[in-house]
Amino acid sequence: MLEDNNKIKVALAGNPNVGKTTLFNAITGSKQHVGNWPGVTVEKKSGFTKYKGYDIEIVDLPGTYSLTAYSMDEIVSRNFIIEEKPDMVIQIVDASNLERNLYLTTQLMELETKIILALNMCDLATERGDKIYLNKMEEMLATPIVKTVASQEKGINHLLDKVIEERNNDQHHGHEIGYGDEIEEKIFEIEKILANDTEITEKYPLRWMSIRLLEGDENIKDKVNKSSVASKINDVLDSIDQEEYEADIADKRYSTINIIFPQICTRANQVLTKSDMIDRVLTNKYLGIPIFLSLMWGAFELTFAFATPFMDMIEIAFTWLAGMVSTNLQPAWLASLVGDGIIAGVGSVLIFVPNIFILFFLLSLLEGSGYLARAAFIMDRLMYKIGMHGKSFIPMLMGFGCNVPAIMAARSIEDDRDRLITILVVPFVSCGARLPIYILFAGTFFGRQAGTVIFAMYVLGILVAVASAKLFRLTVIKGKPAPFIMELPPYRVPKLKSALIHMWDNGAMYIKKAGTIILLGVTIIWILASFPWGVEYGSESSYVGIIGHLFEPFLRPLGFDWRISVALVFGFVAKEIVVGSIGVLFGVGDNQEALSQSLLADPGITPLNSMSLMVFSLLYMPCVAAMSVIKKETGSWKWTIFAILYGVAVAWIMAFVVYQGGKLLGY
Amino acid sequence: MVTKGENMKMKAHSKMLLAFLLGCSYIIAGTIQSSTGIIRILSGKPITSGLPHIITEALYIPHDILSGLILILLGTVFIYGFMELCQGIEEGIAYVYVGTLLAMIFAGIYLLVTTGNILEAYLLKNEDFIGWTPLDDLRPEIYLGFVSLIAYAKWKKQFDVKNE
Amino acid sequence: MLSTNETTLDTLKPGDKAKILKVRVKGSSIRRKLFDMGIVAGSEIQLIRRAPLGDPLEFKIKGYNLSIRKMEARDIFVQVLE
Ligand SMILES: Nc1nc2c(ncn2[C@@H]2O[C@H](COP(=O)(O)OP(=O)(O)O)[C@@H](O)[C@H]2O)c(=O)[nH]1
Ligand SMILES: [Mg+2]
Repeated sequence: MLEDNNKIKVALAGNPNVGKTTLFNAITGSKQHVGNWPGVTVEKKSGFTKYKGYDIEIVDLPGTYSLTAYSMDEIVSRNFIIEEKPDMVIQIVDASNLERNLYLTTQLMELETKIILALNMCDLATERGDKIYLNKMEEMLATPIVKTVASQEKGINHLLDKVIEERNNDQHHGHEIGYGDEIEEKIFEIEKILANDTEITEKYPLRWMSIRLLEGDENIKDKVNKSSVASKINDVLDSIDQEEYEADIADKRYSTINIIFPQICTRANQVLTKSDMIDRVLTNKYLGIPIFLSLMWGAFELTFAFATPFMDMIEIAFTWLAGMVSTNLQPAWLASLVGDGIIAGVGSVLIFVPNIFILFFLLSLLEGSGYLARAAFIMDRLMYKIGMHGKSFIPMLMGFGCNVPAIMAARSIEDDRDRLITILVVPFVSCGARLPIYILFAGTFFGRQAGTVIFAMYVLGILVAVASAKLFRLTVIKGKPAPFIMELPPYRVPKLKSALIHMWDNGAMYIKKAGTIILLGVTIIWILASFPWGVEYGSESSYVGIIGHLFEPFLRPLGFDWRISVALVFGFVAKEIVVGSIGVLFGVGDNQEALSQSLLADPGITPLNSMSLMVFSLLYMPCVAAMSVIKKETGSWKWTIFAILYGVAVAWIMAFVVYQGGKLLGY
Repeated sequence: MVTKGENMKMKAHSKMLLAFLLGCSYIIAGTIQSSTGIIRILSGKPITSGLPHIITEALYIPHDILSGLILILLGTVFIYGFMELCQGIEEGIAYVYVGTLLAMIFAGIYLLVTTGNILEAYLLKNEDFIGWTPLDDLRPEIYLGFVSLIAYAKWKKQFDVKNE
Repeated sequence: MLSTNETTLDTLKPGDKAKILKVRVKGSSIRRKLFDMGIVAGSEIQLIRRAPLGDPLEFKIKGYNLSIRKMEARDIFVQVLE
């Protein structure tokens, strides 16, 4: 009992970009847990803090403008408040943007939970010359309000004091909105019917549920349809003009705010804010797109150039480790498993950790600064034409670095189908790991044209991604991209701490997730390459060799012999293994120069073969890590397997066209 | 009041001058950077002699098309601001402000790249970096970026939100 | 009778202010989303700019910036204010 008495469970709610994450980080510090809400790919963050003898658990709800059922985020948020019944909800309110923020407040109040408002961004409001009358506001809204500046960690203790005070306060506040006689009558009528169902009465606030029904909330309708009062409710709902009610209810909320607002806040007359100034330039008709592209180019320059020394360090460490193992570990087969298999395999994937960390860091800076929304705004027209959403552009672009963070970045796309399409086409974007294959083959066979050939590979990847997006829109994922109804938040100086935390969370997720699957993958490949017992590693008589031969008839029309087939099988683990295993199979090991020579000397490999090989490598499944994040992000084996099969099919067809077409043309 | 107005005007003039000078410097450096990049690619070998060599050596300009284009873009942003200010459009200052921000961002990017190279050269002792010194990485993005940094620091207050 | 300055949201010119009269966007969830974002009858709205490629549009409403595609803006009826 006593233990229970000092536990407090608090939910953080608020619009996007109001400083929720910043406040959450300021309160919980490093004591955080990141995961997913059950059954959906919406991120769930929770954290703990001890304050004045209380254990406070904070759950960061997804940022939402409303609690209707527009997106998964909104459903997750309200279900949490209704079903898990936190002791109270803190709504973070952007003081410089009160009107729209209060709209969510009106909805939270209807959920009949205790609310504290954290009036954040007070520094901005003050700087701008806005005046907010706190006492008046507390009185009118009948909720406690605390001023905070999350980015400077100001007001946090005051907020926690309020949490404890409210916790020990049994009085229920809350000031609900009246919707006018006609609507109120209907609300009352529905409430009365709902009250007959004990299950609903126990679980949901009836007034809230009635309002949601009048607004035509599908999610709530489904719940009611499963209950004992379904038919009666539907009778009432059928008798009203749904569209009319929906508009009236929203209208009423805003007009209530319009009445309250002038009494609690006088806003300074804005001429031109700093943010507006920046926007004039960054979304300028002529300069907007070039500036966007140059910033993206800069991000890549940084990702690769700055990551290189760290990648080299990882490589040195793994080479050393593999060397240690192969000289010191007995018996030989174990040394080979650990050295050739696990360490080499894990190393080949961990080498991308610096890239991934930097990409996530930069992504977080872009998001925190408000530029990410502009990127979507600038690119939406183009993306819409190919059946995608403006928000898909950044994930696609990140794909050039590494498909794994790119697929994870697709999370920022709310609409499920838009996100699915993005996830499915990102693997065609040529990532950094595929470059060594092009460099080897284009460099060996195309001499001075090598640059053009490599460039063509990148273009082909983009074309296939675009064509696939179009194809999916016409077939498996029908429909149009979701509407672009998006806030363009004011520009702000991003917080280093937030960016570092974001980078760490996502980077760690990659290591954990990819790590386990990769370990499995490399072990399987090692077994296949080392057995039957006694064969030379990866040779013709090993299982891999046998599989290579098995696949050969299938890959023959593309111009690949068994050795290339084996290398491509290895490539499933990670593309960067392809070059290495070709080296082994041609008996020259790591030496690129020697490998080039023996490729040139080999009659089985012509410029046409190598072209076909590059096309195939570009398009078939990127790597186990990418597959595992596809599984994680889509939450579906069906789509994961679809992605693999589709990729292989497209790769086969394109390579076939290149090879057979080239032969017909006499190359 | 009069003196204050005069003062404001003078500051606007000095910003115009800065925008013009920075704009021209970026465009000139960018043009040289891109065109030597084109020459290098067309001729298929590095530029080691002649006037282009002397100029690029003296100004620490690398031979690179893409980054040259970005310099030209930065210059254009400044010139855009300069032209609006000339026409008496007060909001033109936005271009000068964002121009300095972008200039600092790109300077930052190349400084970090240099940091990476320093790690390669002195910590990992990478063979590719034998004979390399940090000065080899000096380029217009960096030194022109410093000019922007100074301008930004000086005018930080005036770029702030204006109320009326 | 349509009064002369009654039009749809997509026809505004940058800088124009207007008052929203009616939201006739099809699809109840999209409509509700627009309501949630403050696009309700009676709200004042101003077109700030078009995206560099002409679409979507950026508006100022209720003190913040909102972007909507032309396609949805076409179904939002407004009265242009002087
Ligand atoms: N000036 C100011 N900026 C803030 C404050 N709180 C957060 N920010 C900044 O606002 C941006 C968005 O914050 P974030 O926590 O990511 O918002 P979220 O989307 O609600 O999670 C970041 O750049 C923060 O640094 C504040 O109180 N004052
Ligand atoms: Mg956040």
